[in-house]
Amino acid sequence: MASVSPSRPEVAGGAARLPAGGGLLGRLTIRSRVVLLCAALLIVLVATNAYLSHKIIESTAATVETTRLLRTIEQADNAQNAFGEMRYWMTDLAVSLLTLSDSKAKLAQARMERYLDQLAPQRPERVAAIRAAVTQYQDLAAKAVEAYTDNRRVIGNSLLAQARQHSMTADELLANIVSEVNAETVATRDRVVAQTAAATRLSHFIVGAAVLIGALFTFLVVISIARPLRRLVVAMNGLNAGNTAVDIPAAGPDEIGAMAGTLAAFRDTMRELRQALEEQRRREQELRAANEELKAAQAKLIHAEKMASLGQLTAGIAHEIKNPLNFVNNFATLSIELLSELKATAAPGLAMLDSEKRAEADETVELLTANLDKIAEHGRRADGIVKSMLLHSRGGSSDRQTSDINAVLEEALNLAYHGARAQDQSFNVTLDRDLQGAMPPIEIVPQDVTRVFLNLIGNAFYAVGKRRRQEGEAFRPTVKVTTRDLADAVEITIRDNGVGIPSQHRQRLFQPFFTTKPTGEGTGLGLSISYDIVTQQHGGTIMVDSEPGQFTEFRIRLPRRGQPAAARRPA
Amino acid sequence: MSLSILVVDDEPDVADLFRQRFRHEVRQGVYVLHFAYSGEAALKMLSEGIRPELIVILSDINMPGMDGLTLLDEIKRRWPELPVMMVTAYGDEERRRVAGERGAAKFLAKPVDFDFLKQQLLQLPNASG
Repeated sequence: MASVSPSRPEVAGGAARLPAGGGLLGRLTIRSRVVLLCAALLIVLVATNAYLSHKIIESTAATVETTRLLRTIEQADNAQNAFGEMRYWMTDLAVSLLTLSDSKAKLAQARMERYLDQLAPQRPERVAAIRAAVTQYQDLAAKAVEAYTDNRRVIGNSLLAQARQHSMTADELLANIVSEVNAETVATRDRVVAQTAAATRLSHFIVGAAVLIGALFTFLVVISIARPLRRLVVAMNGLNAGNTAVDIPAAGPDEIGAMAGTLAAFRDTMRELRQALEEQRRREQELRAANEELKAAQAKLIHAEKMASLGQLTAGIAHEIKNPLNFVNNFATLSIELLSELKATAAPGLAMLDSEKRAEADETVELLTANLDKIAEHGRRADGIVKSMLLHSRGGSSDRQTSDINAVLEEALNLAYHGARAQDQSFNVTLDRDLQGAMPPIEIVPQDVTRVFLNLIGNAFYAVGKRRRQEGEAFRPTVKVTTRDLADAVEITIRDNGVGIPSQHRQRLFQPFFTTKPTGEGTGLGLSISYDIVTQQHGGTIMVDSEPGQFTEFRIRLPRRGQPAAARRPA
Repeated sequence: MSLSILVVDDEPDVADLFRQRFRHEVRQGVYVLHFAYSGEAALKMLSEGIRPELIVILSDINMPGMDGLTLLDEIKRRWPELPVMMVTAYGDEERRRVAGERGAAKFLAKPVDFDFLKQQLLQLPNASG
């Protein structure tokens, strides 16, 4: 079995490559590609989440800080208010010297101290400075109160003025704290706002970028899977439809590549199977044809064998008929002689009869003579037929004899005609003879040339009979035989107006066992033998001309000094 | 002076045919016809002697029992000088050749052409005797 070359068509190296990193993707397995895509998307998600969480924590811290700062401002404000109240009550005490003022001042101071305590962790130095200023103010205010108590107004006033200096310092310090913390708060808020905005922008950008890159990456992965898959599907459909010439993508490192490889192997197997199948079918056909030929050849051989034994039988029968026929002929001619002798012998006796009786006797003798003539004539005719039968059957002489070709042709024509009539009573044909007169004799083997003529005339009868069956009574079957003297050769033409020979049969016409007749009717040997007899035995030529549905004409040329030629049968 | 002719044929009508064909010669006493219906009978007649003088034997080839060619051989062995003409329906070259080789004086095809046969008889060596 012819093995299929496993040459896998190099499928579209460039066309199959994916754009933008498809080559790289193509080198990975599909599982790796999907895992890679998911991992990338997850990393982006986690990173973005972490970043945003971090930013939220930062914002929360800033809010706590702001709250703390606001409380500081509140404490500072409260401390300032308490201090202002204390100062008021101290001043009032200095003026009124009332115990109520004193207690109120002390309450205010206590409140202020509490607030300052609260502020102390935030602004220890400032609080210390404030405390110092407040202490000094208190000392001076207390001295001023003492002075006013002692009525030393001037001194009290001076002391109050000094105390006011310190109160202003404390006020200023407190105000400073408030403004400082305020500024700090504003700064913190601004920072938080700015950071939040930046984080928002960044997260927007990251999300956008992640969406874009993820989409692109997903697209690439999908394409890197879908495209070769689609090609595989096309190839599979093609294979399914029985097209083994279909393109299959090149085998690659990934799963689809492996599928392509398997599919290509499958296609190769399919090709091999199909070729094997075709081979088998072809062989089967050959075998069947050979078998048919053998059967036909066998039928022909059987037929040929039958014909051969029939030929022997014919020869035997002819001989058996010939002997009694000889007696018929001999005794008939003898009887004619005897009658004439009787007439002569009996003449004197007859002369004595009266004229009527004599005429009657003469008439009887004449009728007898005529009848015997007829017997002799038909006997000769029968003898001629038997002779031809013997000539045509086996055992005839193969010697060259100087013969009259016209007589040989006539004899064959009569024999063929009687043969055809014997087979089919309704057979009739117009025989047209155009034989050249005064034909010089020619050296031939008469039996074999007769056989050629019998074959050709028999074929002509068959052809006209066939056309008559096709065309009906209106058709006039005609067979014309012609002889011509060509000085160094004799030309014999046998032409019929029968069905003709199709051109495709003309090539094989002289091949042994070629016949168009139904099996059993023709051996396919007639023309083959005729060809050998004319060309090889007599060194002549035989040509055929035919127009299907019109005519067939065989033209034979026999050289006068025929040299046997090793002529080749046409293929 | 009459001369004898021996005809050997298994067909009895051959005798009638020869008698009628040679009736003038027989009537005039030129030839005396003898007939044998088998090769064996012919040899018997020959060994017993035929009167008047035998000038030719005409023999068929196909006969039951001893056939014409065997008879020819036997005659040629015992009476080499005696001419024998073979008469047969099978006028093919092969038989003609074989008969000639075995000593037949003439080979005649059936139906016998009696005019030709009578001419041949006149040319036989003893015909004048």
